[in-house]
Amino acid sequence: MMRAESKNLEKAFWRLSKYIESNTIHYVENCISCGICYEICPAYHLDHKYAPAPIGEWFRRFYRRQLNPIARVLGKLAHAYPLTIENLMKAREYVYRCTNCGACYMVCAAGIDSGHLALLTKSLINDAGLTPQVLKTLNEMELKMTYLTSKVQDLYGKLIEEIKKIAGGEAHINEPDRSVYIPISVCDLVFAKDVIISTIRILEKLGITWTIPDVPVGIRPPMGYVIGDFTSYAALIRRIYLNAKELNCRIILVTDCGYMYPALRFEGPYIAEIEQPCKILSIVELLEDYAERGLLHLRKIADVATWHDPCMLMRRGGVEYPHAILEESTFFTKLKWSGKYSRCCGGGSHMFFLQEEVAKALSEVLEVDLVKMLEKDTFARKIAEFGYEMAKHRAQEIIENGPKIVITACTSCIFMLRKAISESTMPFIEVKHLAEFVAKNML
Amino acid sequence: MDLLTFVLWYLSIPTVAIFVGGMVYKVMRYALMARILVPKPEFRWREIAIRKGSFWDIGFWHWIKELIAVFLRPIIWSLRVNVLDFVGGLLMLHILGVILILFLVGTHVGIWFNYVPYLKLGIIDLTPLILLIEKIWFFLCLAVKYSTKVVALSPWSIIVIAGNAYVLALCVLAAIAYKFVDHLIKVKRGIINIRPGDFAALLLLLAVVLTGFLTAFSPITTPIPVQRLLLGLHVLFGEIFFMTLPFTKFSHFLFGYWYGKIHELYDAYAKRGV
Repeated sequence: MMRAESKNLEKAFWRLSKYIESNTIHYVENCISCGICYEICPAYHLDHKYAPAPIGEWFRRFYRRQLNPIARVLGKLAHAYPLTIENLMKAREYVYRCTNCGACYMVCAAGIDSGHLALLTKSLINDAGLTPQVLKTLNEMELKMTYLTSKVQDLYGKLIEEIKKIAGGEAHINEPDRSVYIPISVCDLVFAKDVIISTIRILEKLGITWTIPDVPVGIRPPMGYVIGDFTSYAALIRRIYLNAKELNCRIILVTDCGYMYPALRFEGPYIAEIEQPCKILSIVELLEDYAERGLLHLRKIADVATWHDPCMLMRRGGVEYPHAILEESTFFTKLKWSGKYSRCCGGGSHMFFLQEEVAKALSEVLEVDLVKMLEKDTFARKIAEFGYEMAKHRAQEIIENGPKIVITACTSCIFMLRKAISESTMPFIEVKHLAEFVAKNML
Repeated sequence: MDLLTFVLWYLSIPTVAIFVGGMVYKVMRYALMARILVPKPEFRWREIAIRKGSFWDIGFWHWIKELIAVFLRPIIWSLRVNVLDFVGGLLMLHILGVILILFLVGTHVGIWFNYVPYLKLGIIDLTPLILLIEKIWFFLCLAVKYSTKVVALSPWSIIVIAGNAYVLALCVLAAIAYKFVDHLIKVKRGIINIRPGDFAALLLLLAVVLTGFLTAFSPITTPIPVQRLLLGLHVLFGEIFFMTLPFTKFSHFLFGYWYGKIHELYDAYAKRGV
């Protein structure tokens, strides 16, 4: 029984080997255990066991056992561990504490991305059936498109009605040859409806033609990225790329940073093995470009504002804070830990979906009891609590800076920071998406 | 045949062969595992180049600046958050210890010239550089010797004292001890990435440095067989270090570190524009 189980898990490793390339070997072999990465990791600040190098170590252990003949002979002495359910359960404790924020990559002396190793380990965990049920369900629903429930369609219908009101009666659904394609997701409908409305209001004002899909493109695509399911990851990338290609648009505009932006913009072609159909831009890049060229004018507000860098936008996406917008229209103050050294909000990767409120809101529209799944899963609840602790740390850093508004561009950052700030000593600090801020203050 | 004769005349060629074989194996794996034939995203630098006109319009110095930045960033970070590790790990172990001892102590330079003759003559000739460093060192020593008390306390004299091989060896011994204790503390804290191999590597380094230190600074009255044994042990440990280099964490010094940083420049800066 144990042997058969181990063989199946080894097969999973070989399936994954498609994504083990020279850079992965570098990440596996060249960690010198110097410990420079520890201090920047948000998980390490909560528990010293969970630093980037130990998080990446689990994949190294499995890799050594599978692909290093000397380590295989030496066994645990060389930290070569067999792929067993027991070991994967231990690995899960580590890799699910990583939000894949990429901070360790920025300071690593040897340029190692431990988040990538965590993602590969998650893939093995997923093949062993150990992924938290909530995440597994969401991923399956997204892949099979069963998320298109009547409630989701109702909500989407209502959004289209609102869009029509601001766009002169037209919703431009699947209209070809438009400039911008906005891939709206279920999470946008539930948590960021105003962001979509604001984006369309801005595009209308700037005279940019836009189109939206006839149904949401996913729950928060690609969900496969969250649990290391590369099949689903590739399928969702292909779905969005092909939609955009059919519509012959010039830009795919990502309003939710999350992991969607780097996945579509940088990882997509490698994972899905398909050419990018067009340019992929974050809403931050687009608005900043217009502001820099003097085509977007905002009124100056009297408030002190700050910018929280979403990890996926800054470190994984290379998009800096929108200087031209924020410095012109607010009394801007930079956070102590910002840019490359910005701290994660605690909602990165899977963390957002494990929050009780998120599970509750998604349960209502997806007609599946995610809350019950979460209640039964002590591991998932423990991880959710860990993520929220990270959010409280980040909220405290923001509070110390004394802003009245925190502007960012990611659904999970907004959710986590709002929750943490509302329970802090400064609950009146507003957390807003850049699109909402611009739409409100646009001249 | 004593140990020194054996390690110098019989073990040196196998050592170099194992080292070269190991490095070729390592580099070939990287080359063969590269996924080149997959579609690529639009790289951020290309976007910038298109906006500015051409690749060269981005600015050569801009690229150089970024290249330096990827190397400097971890150093600055280390200095910012963990000064002890900066001093113990980087300054004492790497810069003062390994780099200066390995490449600037006269006997070692002689060994490098012996193993890699074209360093001395031929394609790359490092002799002028070594002579220049020697000359600067000589004048610094003179300056300290003939200076007044005030000058003797100047940074010059401190550099000369710190640059003394004796002091350098003590630095590296202290740094190894620091790393050893640091690893033990991490293991005690439950940090799982510290492996027995990390301790083995430190012990090997300690053996190399300690035997070298004893050889160089043993009293002149030490009997010749003891001197030869110490030197033999030093060369033996050095050769073990050298032949296992491609398979241990020390390979970062030849390959991993440079590959990592160049990859970071490509992935984080050129591709993503971070």
